[in-house]
Amino acid sequence: MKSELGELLDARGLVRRFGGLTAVDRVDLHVSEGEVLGLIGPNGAGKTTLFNLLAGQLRSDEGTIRLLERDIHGLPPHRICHLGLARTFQVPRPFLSLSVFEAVLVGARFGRATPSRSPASVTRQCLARTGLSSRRDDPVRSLNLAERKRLDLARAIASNPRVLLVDEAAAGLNPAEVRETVDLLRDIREAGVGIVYVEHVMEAVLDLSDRVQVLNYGGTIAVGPPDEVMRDPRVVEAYLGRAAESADGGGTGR
Amino acid sequence: MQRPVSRRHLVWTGAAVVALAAAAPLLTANPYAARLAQLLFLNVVLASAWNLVGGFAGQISFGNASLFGVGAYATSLLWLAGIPPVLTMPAAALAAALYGAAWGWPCLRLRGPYFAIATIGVAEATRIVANHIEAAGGASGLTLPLEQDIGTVGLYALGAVLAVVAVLTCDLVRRSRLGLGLVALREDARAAAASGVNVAREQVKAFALAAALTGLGGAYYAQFTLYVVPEKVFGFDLSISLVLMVLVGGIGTVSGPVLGAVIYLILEQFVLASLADIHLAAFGALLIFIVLMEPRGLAPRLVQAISLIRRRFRRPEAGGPA
Repeated sequence: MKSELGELLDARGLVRRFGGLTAVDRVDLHVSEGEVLGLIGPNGAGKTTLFNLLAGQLRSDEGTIRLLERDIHGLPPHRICHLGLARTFQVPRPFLSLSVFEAVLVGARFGRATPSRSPASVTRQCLARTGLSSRRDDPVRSLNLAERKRLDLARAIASNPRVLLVDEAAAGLNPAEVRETVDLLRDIREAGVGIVYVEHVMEAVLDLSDRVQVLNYGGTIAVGPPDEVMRDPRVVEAYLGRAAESADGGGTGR
Repeated sequence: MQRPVSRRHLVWTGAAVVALAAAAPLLTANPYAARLAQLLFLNVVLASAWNLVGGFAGQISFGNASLFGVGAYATSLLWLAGIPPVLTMPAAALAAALYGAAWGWPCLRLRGPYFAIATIGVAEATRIVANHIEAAGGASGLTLPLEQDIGTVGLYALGAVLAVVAVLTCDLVRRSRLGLGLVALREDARAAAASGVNVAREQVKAFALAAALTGLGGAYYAQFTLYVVPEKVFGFDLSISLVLMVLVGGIGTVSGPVLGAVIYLILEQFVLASLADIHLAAFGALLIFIVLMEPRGLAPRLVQAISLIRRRFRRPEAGGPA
């Protein structure tokens, strides 16, 4: 069970139940240095629950999670952040009354320390990378959706993560903004960060991912290179549904 | 990034010290004026301390009297044991900080109304227990020796120092790492935790600091009233008045608690003169009015007005067709 070299995050057999519903069902997931793992699946497939398990917001009922060879199962979110895992949120959760600079500074001052750099200089760099430098003194509440998504990313990378969980960074953005986001994530990956990327905007996730993992009903139904996975009949079925007369389980509601 | 202690601090602190020193002859001239000044300083200390947790972290406490009482009793008991009262103040601050940390640690895991209700429970329990500790005078309290009094001018100076320290602490915390974490967790505790903020620990730190200041306030109170009794120093009235002051002045701002303390004192004296003890009702009415009209309190509006006036004075001809 020893993980290979360069493996940053290695989760095995994760299970999370909510009452009678198994939201995450025996999922294995791993990501290496500089790798982008795309995580896709229909609504309700368990992607966000899986993120909550990995980042410590929820505790898994079964399974192990190792971050940089260290067991992080059951640790609180701030400890997991200190150990090098950061996340963004599907609906950005910015600190509305702070300035843009201060909001990113939260990540730089409280996250995993960046060696020999001051939090202020880390913050300035993160603002520059996310194109928010000109907005640094504006209140967060004045940002639009695309800017808030970038701010959430800036806050996350300011905590100097080795692994970054990105939850729908491109949803609701126009094509030009999607391209900017893809470029930004590519830039973060180039720096050696391992990214787990949940996304419904297929062009973004297929463009960026080295591997794609498909979830449906809480379980993994396929994992592999993007083009291969997208041709997998089980994946096609999960997204488009089966022929109408088929009667096992009722389909996905599309 | 602002430096923690800036020139602005030195200028403002200097101005405050000069103004307070200049006002000293007036505010120590007769017993009534002296008492007003003492109450004002006390309110500024307590409201600023309350604001550290209530304003920055958004955790509304209705139980700060429990911390105030511990400070008042610590000083009174040590004083009666023969230690000069001013020297007992560090012990009062420490006792209140320890007590605050002890009950803040579990209670601050709650948020919003749940935390607020827990604080009422703790403070009321503290009051009832204090009424039964015979070694501390029980329900009839402690009467303190008049002869060791530091005098009217001494009390004025002590109060002024405490008030300046409390306001300065508020401002330093607002600009510190702690303050950033507090505001972040107030805005979104989950996102703050995901960014590495230890939500429980940062809140307890702020609460212990607020408790220390509140305990100092209690120690000061004991020295100018010379009488400490549970119904007063652990009373719910006191806890409520702090919340009112800060809400009226401006929650989460540095100047808000000061402004609220001034307004509260004026209103209290004004109403007390005619109709005893309905000042809380009057203040409640004012609070409702302010929450409806100016939910952020009066301080932000005042700051806005001052900067408008300053701009007008600085560039009288820049206005154009006005």
